[in-house]
Amino acid sequence: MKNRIVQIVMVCAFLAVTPVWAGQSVTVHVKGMVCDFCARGLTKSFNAFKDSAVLEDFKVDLSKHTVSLTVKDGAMMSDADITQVVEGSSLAVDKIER
Amino acid sequence: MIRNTAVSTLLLLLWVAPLQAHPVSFKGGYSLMAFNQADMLDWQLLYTFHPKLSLGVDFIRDTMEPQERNFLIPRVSWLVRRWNETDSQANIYVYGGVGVAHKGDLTAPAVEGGVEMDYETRSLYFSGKAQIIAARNFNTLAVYQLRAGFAPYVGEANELHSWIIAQAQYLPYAPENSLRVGPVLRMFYKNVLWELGVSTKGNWNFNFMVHW
Repeated sequence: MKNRIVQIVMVCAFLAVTPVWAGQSVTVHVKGMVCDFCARGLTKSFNAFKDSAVLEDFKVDLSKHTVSLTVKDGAMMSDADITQVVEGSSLAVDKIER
Repeated sequence: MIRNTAVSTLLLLLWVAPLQAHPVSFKGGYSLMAFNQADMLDWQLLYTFHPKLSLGVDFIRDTMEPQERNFLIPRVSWLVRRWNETDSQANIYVYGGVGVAHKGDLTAPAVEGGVEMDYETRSLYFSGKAQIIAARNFNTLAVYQLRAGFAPYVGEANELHSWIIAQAQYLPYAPENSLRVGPVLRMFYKNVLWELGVSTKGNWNFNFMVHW
């Protein structure tokens, strides 16, 4: 039983630090993203990840305050990468869902 | 003099921040902003090299006085504080610079300082601004502005956004119509924004901004 608990904890810890793997979708909840003009920085930065073959696509949803990312097969995008993009636009990450 | 001071004070007391002056955009971003009126224009080219800082140049042409005055001022803008909430954003910016003023045969060093504040949601907008430029042997140029606006509809990403704004602008050293109040229609699509307004006394203004 104890071993089982340890195994579960280890799997949870692994998932918590694992970046977004290829082919996965991730939803980034962004604070402060209240207008399209303000979201241009995010658009420009995520377009750069598309151009560098990391992202398959992304979509900004102002009503839900989210950016939905689809990572390309064989590529990887970490939470740190995502946070850096958002904070580079002087916005804030509320949470990242995978 | 007393009236000018009272109006300036009143505007400052009523000052509520936010809305999209954005002298600091996003890291690596360029901004071109053009504010145009019949007797004054203010064009700015800015580069945001840090999420909270931008460098740029401000060119102002003032034809309110009998002799045209021009100011060219490199400046730094600082996003002092931003409040990012789920449904709103508020900002405080300050900026300043040192450049030159020119009028006829007269050229002198000039200094500029300003503060801008804004608060916005997806359907409401408030902003305030104070900008002052001073140069030796030149009358001081000052612009104080308050805005309040709403969006008649809420646009989504990559759609046309429209705003209806009430603007009060005070130019204490303008020889006429120093207080200009009137509506402004703002529209923006993706990274291009334009505004068209007119005061109750017929002073028009046309503003244009693009980020890339």
